Amino acid sequence: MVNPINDWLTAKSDFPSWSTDLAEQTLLRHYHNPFLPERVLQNLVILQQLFGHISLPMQEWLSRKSGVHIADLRALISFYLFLEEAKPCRYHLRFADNIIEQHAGVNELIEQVKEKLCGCDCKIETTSCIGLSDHPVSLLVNGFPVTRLTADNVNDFCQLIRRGAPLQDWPRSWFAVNNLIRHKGPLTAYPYQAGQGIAQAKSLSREQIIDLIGDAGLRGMGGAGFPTAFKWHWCEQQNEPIKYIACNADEGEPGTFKDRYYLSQQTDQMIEGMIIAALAVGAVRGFIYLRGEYLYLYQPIEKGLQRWREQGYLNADFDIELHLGAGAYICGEESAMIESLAGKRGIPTPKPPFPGEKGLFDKPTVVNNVETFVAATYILQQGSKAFKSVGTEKSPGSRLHSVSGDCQQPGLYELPQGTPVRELLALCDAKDTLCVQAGGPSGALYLPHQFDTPLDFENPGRGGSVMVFNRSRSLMDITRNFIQFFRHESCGFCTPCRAGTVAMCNLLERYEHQPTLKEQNKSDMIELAQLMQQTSHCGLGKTAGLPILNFLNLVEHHE
Amino acid sequence: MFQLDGNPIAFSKGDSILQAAHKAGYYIPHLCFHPDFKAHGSCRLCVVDVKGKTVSACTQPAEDKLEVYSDTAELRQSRLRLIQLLFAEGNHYCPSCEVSGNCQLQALAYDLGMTHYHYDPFSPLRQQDGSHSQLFIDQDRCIQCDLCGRASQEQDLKSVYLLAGRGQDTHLAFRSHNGQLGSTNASMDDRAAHICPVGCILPKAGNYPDIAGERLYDKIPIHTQGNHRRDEGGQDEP
Ligand SMILES: Cc1cc2nc3c(=O)[nH]c(=O)nc-3n(C[C@H](O)[C@H](O)[C@H](O)COP(=O)(O)O)c2cc1C
Ligand code: SF4
Ligand code: SF4
Ligand code: SF4
Repeated sequence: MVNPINDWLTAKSDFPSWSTDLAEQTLLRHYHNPFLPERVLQNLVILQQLFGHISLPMQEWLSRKSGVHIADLRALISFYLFLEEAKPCRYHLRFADNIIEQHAGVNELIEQVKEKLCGCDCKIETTSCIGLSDHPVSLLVNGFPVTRLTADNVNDFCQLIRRGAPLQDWPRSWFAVNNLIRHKGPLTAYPYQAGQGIAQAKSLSREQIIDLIGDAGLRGMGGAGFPTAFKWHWCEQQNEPIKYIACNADEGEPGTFKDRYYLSQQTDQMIEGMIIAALAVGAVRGFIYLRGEYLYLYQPIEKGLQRWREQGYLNADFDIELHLGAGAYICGEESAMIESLAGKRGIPTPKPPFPGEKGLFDKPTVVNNVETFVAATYILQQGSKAFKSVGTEKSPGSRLHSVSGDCQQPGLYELPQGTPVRELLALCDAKDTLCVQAGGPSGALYLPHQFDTPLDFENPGRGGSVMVFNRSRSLMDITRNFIQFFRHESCGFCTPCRAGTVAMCNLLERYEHQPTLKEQNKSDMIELAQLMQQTSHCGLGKTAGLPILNFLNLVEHHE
Repeated sequence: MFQLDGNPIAFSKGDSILQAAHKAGYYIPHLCFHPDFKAHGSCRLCVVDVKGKTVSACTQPAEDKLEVYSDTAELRQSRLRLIQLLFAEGNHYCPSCEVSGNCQLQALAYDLGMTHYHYDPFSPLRQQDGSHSQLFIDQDRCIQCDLCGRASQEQDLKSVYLLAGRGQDTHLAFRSHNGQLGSTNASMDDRAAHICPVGCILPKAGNYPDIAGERLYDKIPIHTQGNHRRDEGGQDEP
């Protein structure tokens, strides 16, 4: 953490050959004590980015240095998609294959790219949503996002690769990410004054801070809508000198990119919110878990942390560490995130105990979404009344929605809680809408007769994303995409999800291709979806069958 | 005291529902649980209904006055489907399997009335390992319960076995430089060598000792005698 500017963070297509000196220097520049066992995952992430892969000699070296067995390093590499043992190509393309990009023609583009780049030193793969579905088609090139690839510019794109142009020399326009807010609201447009929320918090007791958050009625923006004050209070009550704050910046739910906005444009509000939470519960350390797909935001966030350090807000009493994920959606689930922060495979742990009681390194931990921390800062600065002056009684305040798909104006919209789907569709100029998926694949599907449903915490689909589909789209394609996503992202821990997500894909394929067995396949799918909901260990498996239930519901509706 | 299907069960502080039921001699179907080791919660066979929610009995703390339901038609059906998923995702050829008749997965399948796979078999390709002088690993049958990992870590203090990979590629791995069991210090005398509920970790010698009809679960069903292995001896309960 000494120098935030590190080689491993720059886009490149030439990887240095393995050198223990370079590796050690890089890790030392990053951490004062880089070889603690719990840092191995971060070290693997850095080595991967620096050398383009993690070869056997690198594994042997890291194993020797950290004392972590090489088999455990391999177990990590085999769990996290972005960690690789194989020698790197000059260009590694990972196309986002969320349904939005599929509708935007990613499959056709991939075919063209494959054809044009035949014989080039490159690898072409797909990956889950990379948080850019308002910029389709987007992809990661050696970890950095290239946006808005279309049939018109795909030739130029391929030319760059054919020419072997070094990635760092590519025109910046290829990497342009537009974080324009199409509809502003309190959280995204108020006279923010850095540090004022902290000053306010310092003038209050712990209890008073939590009461203020409670009075505002703030609920978690990560999807579950759990009352934030309750979570903080629970953690505050724990009789334990060491407590942690963890900011969930994993934003893995396909179609969601609202945290991308906060992480790049309102970093300070997020950091300030974490410091406020630390004051409220008495935490000694904070962590930001940034998804690997947002590697390009690492430096700006680290610079932000540096600013707060220079101002003395982050110090020996409370500092924040930035962690990178490596391509695993499940690490957005709070207990899996805690495992991952501790350097392990991202397997959700049993609840109870909840993180507020026993979280990171078995210490009480507050886990909140990026936007929740941003809102906490708002409440401390503007007051609880201001926050709840919009929204509904049970879901006070406003929130940012990520809107993508079939509309004229995809992008970011901050709207009061409780805004009906219909209003959002009008704002983003969506026409001839077949259905919308709110809150990503694990959220809810709304049909036209349900467009008066308010988008709030009282209704399903609370993750802050809305994917719009018009009448030219096939619900079968959408459903297939969603359940393949869950199959791909299941952590593999428990039976109903590890095997159930595979069985579900098989059943849907049968349903599609065996018209005579439709009824049987249909009831098998419903039963399996319910089984997964009932018996899965964590939220991923519990919701993985929902797209099927929604689909069959709609089919019935149409018949 | 809490109620399990109407029966009063005593428990000590810190017991899970499954631990307490086990001590009291009541059977809740399970595969990844073993009273000697930390709970895992992965097989999900021990799901029970508590306060309107379905939870795994092995990870749910017992509480006073709790009403727990385990032996319901709905849960029996769910368990059957879970067993069928486990069969479909591996490669299980019971008739020729070394542990047939002594296998907890198979015994539960019988117990729950499984007559067919129900789900299309996934027919995965899984790595076998015959590198050890006395043990053989047949991953086709692994149900990823981590009992071997826990026994090796908690009792043998060796940490030979671990799970690696993700999703349907999750697999058993061994802590050695080349990743083979033969290069670890695993031994026949380890508890971990005698814990696998299925036929994944096998002795190389002395298999098929019993004729059909004389095997562990041939005579007494698993819900009566509990989860046992042939080499630890079945325990006859009323
Ligand atoms: C499979 C799964 C994925 C999740 N992904 C995220 C995520 O990417 N970001 C997030 O903030 N919460 C995610 N959550 C919710 C978190 O577990 C947790 O509830 C949340 O971070 C709490 O913060 P909040 O109270 O501020 O919403 C996920 C949950 C599940 C089950
Ligand atoms: S439900 Fe899925 S993601 Fe969650 S623990 Fe089970 S296998 Fe892992
Ligand atoms: S391990 Fe059990 S279920 Fe699998 S093949 Fe052997 S006897 Fe059958
Ligand atoms: S080898 Fe046996 S004990 Fe080990 S995880 Fe597989 S099934 Fe469980």
